[in-house]
Amino acid sequence: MDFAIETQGLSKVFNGRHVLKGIDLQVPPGSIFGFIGPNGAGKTTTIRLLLGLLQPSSGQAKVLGLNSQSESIQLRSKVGYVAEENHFYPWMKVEELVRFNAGFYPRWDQERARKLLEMFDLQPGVKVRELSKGMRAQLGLTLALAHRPQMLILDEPTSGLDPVWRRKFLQILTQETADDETTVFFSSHILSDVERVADWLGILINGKLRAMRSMEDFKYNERVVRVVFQHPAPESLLATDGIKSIQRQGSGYLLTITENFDEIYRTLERTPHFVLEAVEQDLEGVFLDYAGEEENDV
Amino acid sequence: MFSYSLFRKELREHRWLLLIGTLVLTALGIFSAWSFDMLAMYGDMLQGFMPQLAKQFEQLLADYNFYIWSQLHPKNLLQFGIVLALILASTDLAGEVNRGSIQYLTGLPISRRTILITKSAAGMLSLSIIVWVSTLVTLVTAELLESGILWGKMLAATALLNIGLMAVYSFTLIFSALGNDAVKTGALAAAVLLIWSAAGLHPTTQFLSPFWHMKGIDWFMGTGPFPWLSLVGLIIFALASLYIADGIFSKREF
Amino acid sequence: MVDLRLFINPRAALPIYQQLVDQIKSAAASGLFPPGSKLPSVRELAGQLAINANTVARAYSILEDQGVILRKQGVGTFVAERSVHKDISPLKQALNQLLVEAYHLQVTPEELEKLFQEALKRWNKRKEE
Repeated sequence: MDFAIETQGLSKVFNGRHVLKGIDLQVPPGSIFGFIGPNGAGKTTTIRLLLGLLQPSSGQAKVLGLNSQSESIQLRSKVGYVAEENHFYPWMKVEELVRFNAGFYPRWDQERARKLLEMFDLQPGVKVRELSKGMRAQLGLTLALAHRPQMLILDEPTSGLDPVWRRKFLQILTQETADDETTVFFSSHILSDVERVADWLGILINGKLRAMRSMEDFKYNERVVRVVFQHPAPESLLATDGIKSIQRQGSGYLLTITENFDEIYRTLERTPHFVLEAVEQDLEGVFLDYAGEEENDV
Repeated sequence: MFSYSLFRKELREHRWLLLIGTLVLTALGIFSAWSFDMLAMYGDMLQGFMPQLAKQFEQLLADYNFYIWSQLHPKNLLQFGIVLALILASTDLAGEVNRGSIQYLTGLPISRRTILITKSAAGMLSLSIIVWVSTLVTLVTAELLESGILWGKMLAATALLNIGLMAVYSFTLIFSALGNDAVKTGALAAAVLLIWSAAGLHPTTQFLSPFWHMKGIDWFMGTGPFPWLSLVGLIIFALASLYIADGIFSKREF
Repeated sequence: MVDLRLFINPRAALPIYQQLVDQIKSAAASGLFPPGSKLPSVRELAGQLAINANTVARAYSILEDQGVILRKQGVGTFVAERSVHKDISPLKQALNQLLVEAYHLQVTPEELEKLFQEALKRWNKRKEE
């Protein structure tokens, strides 16, 4: 399959600090890919590398089949990018900014821009400096969607927005990308937003990609199982591949599973037990697990 | 290599500078044209009080053309023009950085070179408009008041100065490409240019000063031919500066 | 078109598509969405709820398989008429689950039957309203 985004060993060093440590991303076309990680993990750096706004220290990246380094401009004309900070030109009115932006994209659809502005309730005559952060984020999304891009790359699109703005933003995002042709790659540290909207997930911690799989796969396999065995648990069982960690809880165990859930669960079912129940973890729980693990590795 | 959308935006951002610059220089120019007669009067008065000063005046007043030129080209136009060039160049790149819009601009699907070329074109055009409009109005006024203006010579001198100012703009753009703040960039460039202008003080080092080349005093005063070499030198200086600025700006990561 | 006041909890253990399926089924059963009423398109519902369109598509797919909704190409998605053929194994499963719960809570069969009658009465009453 041709991936919409593909990186190989992508790394970046800033002033001696290894911000990104060789990541291998694969984003399926048409998916909504949530790229999560704590602040400072390297999400913005990754995005800027993908767009060719930064040069990698090593490795390479391809977006829509185009090389991020050598074909950056062509790439950016096919991608709708919304940065974390949307300063634009404060003195311009909304309609002036839209007209200014339009001049850089041959595929600009002024009608779409107008409709989006209306959906977002952005007045054309208002100056950009008078807009709140939420409104500027919406303006950013409008500009990004109006040139009918094959892909949207959003950097922390809903951070710093109050729930009303977040909701509105996500509504338009999910609506406008409901076809299977637009790929969306967005970074966020707001896990609940990612949970609702993403169908693929990538976890970046400390510059390393700790997990990358479909949301469904993730939620299915990343579960905790509580089991109370009738007899002392066999060592081999507890050392099975896919069990990430084991916690003793009274007479039982809490097994945190990350792979091969079905297989492990079936094995447990066949092993004599008093209690066996699977608890689904929400994204936050899983994420904290990964984050904590990384700390211990260091 | 060129973006119309960006070009229009640049001119739009320059509109106040264009307006004020043109008005101020035009006013200064008209005043010079008009003040000739007044100074002649003062000259007569001074004859009685301070003969030495009167002597200096004599030279100035001997030739209307020379007078006009001396007020404009080596003085008002040059000094004011340099300030304008400094402001335009330092705000063009460094100004976008401290205003926060540089990330948006460099995120658009155009090359750094296109940004630089388009901005330079707008900056140089703005400079040229200010120089030419104010000078032409001044010359027309002078012609109406006293007549006898040597149009050929005046226009050539203006062209020389215009190119010189574009070279100053380009040179400042190097600092702008490196800087993060328009004010600091402008101040630094100004300091460098000030020191550089000291070369013009002594006849042996004059040829090192771009300002001396822009004035073309020898030629205008009739003691030398038209300074073609100066003109070419200034153009090369401008192009080289742009090339360096382009190299710096293309590599910066914002 | 019906006004779908659906509530999605993305953090809950139950997958989002399942929440959708359950709520739509419940709304259809209770008479809130009478047969024939038009449901929003996948895209519209995704936008309304701010969730991934694939999730909605999946829920609609399941509902269609279960005969709860009907998709008419080019026209829209509608609540289906109840038909008789149904595979009642989910019902049997639910009943078994119920009995297991009752056992653990030490509820006697008589008490259980009484609870059932009461629930049925309440249900019918609500349908009349």
